[in-house]
Amino acid sequence: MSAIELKQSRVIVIEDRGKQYSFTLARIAKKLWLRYFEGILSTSENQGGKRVDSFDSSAARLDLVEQSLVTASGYPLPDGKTSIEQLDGWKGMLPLSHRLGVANAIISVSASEPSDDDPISLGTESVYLDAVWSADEKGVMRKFKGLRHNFKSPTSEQQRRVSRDGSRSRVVGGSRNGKTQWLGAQATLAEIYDELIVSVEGYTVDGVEPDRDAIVEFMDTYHKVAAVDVLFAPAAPKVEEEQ
Amino acid sequence: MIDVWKDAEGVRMALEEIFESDFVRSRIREEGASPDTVERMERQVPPRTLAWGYYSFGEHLLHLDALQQAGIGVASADLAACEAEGLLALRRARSAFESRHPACSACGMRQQNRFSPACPGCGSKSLRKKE
Repeated sequence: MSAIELKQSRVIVIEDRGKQYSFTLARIAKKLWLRYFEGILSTSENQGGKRVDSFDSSAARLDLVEQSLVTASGYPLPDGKTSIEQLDGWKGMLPLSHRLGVANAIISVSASEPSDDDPISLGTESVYLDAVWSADEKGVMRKFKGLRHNFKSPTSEQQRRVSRDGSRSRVVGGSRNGKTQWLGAQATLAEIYDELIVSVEGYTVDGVEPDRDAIVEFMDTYHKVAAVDVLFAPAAPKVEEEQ
Repeated sequence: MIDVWKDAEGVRMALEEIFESDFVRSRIREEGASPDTVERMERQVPPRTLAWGYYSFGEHLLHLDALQQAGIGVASADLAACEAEGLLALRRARSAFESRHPACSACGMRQQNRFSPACPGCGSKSLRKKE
């Protein structure tokens, strides 16, 4: 089974009007991911006693791509130029839809259903993710399924930190009619990942399965946040309709 | 811009609203009324008047308080200052709620107000202390 190589730079390929465009990204450091999370605008308004939520991450996604993009190919170049990096401000010249497409690929991480063969062992909790990572040599983007993260069971203190930081907010425009801006708990989720992670499956560092220290150092922060988010989500009870 | 964590008075007001709406909802459940009556009673649930962040932080404090009441205490060194202030705001909000809705001395049911002539739960008439 192929695995995600965490030290490798990522290549995202998108197709537009029958043509392929390729984008190489540097490894996205924790600091950059935290900047992305801070840039997400998640707000709630009170309209007649009802909660109305809104969410906008487009500016944060564009910034993330701009900060991590190393090169791009597939675009026609002006005479005398051999690569796109020779153009001043080349990142800003890329079509907006392409930059958003790259961002969507790098944040394409979701919870995955474990198969019936995956046992539950007491004292250890496993979380499974599906994620798009990088294009292969043929330029084909693939989704990695069932990426496994094995954790120690969280403590009530860790749960309290998640609850506390998940409820953090600022209010703009007055306590009564103002808009609530949620600050997010992603930094805390990433910290808790480092505290709880035991092992992973589906990832490699320099071609080998990483040990705990290597996981903490090289695991993508977005994957850390997604995995701990799933870890703290309650399991759905099995409910049958009454006849 | 208001940092909700630091606005203890706003958090207290939100907690009072949470207590009041939970009280009305618990009465609706206890009534066992028809769907029409439930709908009518639902309209009595006071609307939320503050920005949503206050209720979210209030719910976190209620969870923290429930842990403490269950004996799962959080070491004071681990408690953020805003949580400590919030727990004090929670105590003030609960005290005001309990004063508005005293418990029946016979069955413990919370009353609609301080002047109920008899407890709707057990019929006890000894709710009011003689002044």
